[in-house]
Amino acid sequence: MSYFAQQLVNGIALGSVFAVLALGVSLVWGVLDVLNFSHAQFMTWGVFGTAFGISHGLPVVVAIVVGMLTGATLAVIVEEVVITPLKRRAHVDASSIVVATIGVAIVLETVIKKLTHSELRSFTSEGFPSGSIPVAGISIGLLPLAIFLTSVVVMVALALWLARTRLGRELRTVAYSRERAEIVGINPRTSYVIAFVISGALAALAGTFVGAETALISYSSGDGLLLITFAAVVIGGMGSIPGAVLGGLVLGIGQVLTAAFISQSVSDVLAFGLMVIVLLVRPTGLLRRQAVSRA
Amino acid sequence: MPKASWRVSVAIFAGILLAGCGGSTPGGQAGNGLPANLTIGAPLDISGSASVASVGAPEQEGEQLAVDEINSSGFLGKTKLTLKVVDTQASKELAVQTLTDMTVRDKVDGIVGFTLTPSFLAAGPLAQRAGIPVITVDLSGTGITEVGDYIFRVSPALVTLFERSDPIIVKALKAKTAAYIYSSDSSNTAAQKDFRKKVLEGLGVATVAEQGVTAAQIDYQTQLTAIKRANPDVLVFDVLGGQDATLAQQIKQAGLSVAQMGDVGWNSPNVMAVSGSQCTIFTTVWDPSISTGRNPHFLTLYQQKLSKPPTQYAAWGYDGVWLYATAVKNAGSANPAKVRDALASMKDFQGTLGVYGFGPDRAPTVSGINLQVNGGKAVPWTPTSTCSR
Repeated sequence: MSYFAQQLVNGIALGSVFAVLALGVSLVWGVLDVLNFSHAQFMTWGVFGTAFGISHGLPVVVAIVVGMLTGATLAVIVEEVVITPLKRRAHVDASSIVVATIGVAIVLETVIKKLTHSELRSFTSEGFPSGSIPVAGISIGLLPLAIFLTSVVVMVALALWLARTRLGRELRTVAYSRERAEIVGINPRTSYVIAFVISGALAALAGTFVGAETALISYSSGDGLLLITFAAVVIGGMGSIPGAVLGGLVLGIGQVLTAAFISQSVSDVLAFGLMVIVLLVRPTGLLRRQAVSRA
Repeated sequence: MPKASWRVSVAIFAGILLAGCGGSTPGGQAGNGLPANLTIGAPLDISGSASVASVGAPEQEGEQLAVDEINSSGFLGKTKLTLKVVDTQASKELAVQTLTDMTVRDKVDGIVGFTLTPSFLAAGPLAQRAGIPVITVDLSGTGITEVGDYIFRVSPALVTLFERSDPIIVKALKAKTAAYIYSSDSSNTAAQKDFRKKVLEGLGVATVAEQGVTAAQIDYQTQLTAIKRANPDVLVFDVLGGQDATLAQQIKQAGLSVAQMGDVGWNSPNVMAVSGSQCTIFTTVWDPSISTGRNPHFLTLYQQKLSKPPTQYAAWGYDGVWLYATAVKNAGSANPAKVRDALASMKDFQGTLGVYGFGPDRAPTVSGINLQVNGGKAVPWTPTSTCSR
């Protein structure tokens, strides 16, 4: 039993990282209807921003803010320079924007690859929680615990912001209908920028979590996580904040338990298998009815 | 067609043919019995995932450093080396295409490269069939030189090191049980794990857990939890570069405290910087502490030219090119068969691994050095060494 409980805790910890990543993607997918393949680069550039801050002697929390600003800035640049101009053109469909974001991702990855000389870089764990505490026969890592608590705080804060602030409500209105939002005097551009700022910052935060967990960062840090993030969003329900968290946790727990009791190979494909099943059985995702944006 | 036009056409056609040929043809002779130019093909994985590119990129840097040094020093007289690097992107198919180009179209004089064993095993036979000497720089698997008598390797098969060192280490640790963690999506590391397991079981060390990890993972707690439950005396690692640091990081989170036997990937500042690597013992063939051969010079030169300390991958690349150049010089010819013979008879090569040559199996005659992570750096390990966490 304690072995199962330990693996369950491991799954929740992994799922928390997926959840933070999924939150940012869900927001942009829900608001702009844009499947953004450059999201992984916001994560990569963000964690390099955090590492830059740490290497220049900043306290970890401040360095994380630097990383989040890096991710947010990059996201806004991509939104302003690529996505919004493309959306303005009447003949450009969603698939063209997807292709454009793939191109942006390749450019951003190539740039950071050149800047880092293709090297794997150490990501120091100093200043981050380390070690573990025993609780009822289970070892709980302090870093995963911090990540889990942070993801819960972020989810609650984001949900409250969307529900109870003017900007949050405007964002939801734009997500529901851009035309209706404009009729009531809401500037959709502002909402787009805000969505990308939050998305980029959360990607950077998740990237920092991954860096602290893996002790390494590189130009390809975000590559492997992008498709898992998309899977988490689809499973939870596009545009749904609780759905993004649920999708992340379902994947994290599912991956860990599958690896522990079946095999790692099955675990690696679980995300995509679950995504297909959800699309077939419940295409709107597990929590689509509770979506905060477009439902 | 008028006669003059016919001659011009032939001349142009001949020119195109000559220009299209690589290798030693176009530059003529350098006056020392050698051609003016020798082309070394370097198929390396320098893009794709960072865990592979971070190996291929320093290999390229090491090879280029050696080429520049050989050319500027006049080691081969007026003969100049040209390095033709092709990024094979960790793809067996690309490796085969690249070797086809190098052996048929470019007709390179020698090949110094290869980052991954599976890519070499797919493409290497093409060079053997073409009779072009190949020096592999960073292949840790077995079956490399078995491809043929034109194939040599700078980095020995890791199992040959484990065979000598693991019994000494495990006896010193007084281990009775062992757990293994390995990259299950790499046939090379899986084979190394199987080999080490067989060696240790032969010494009476019982296997209590075997856990595979894959490149897609960012979290190894699942596997570390299973290992913790098995409660081994020693944990043996055989994983891909880039996974060692993460494992070292997450061992403490798992609450796991056990003696650790690493692989060559632990000989990296990125890994040794992680506190979970403390006291890990591993065996390798290159280390900055080697004071013989060309290693002290290499350490200085690399730092001077590239403004950073070298890695073992750069050292292997550097030695690969120097081995080829030395063989050409010893042979007094770029003829592939003569270069091959010169490589095979090499005995006292001054390299970064120390002073060595090639054995009958065309692998380097180096026995490996045992190191232990202590205080964030690798220090020589002996059975009487002490280390505390």
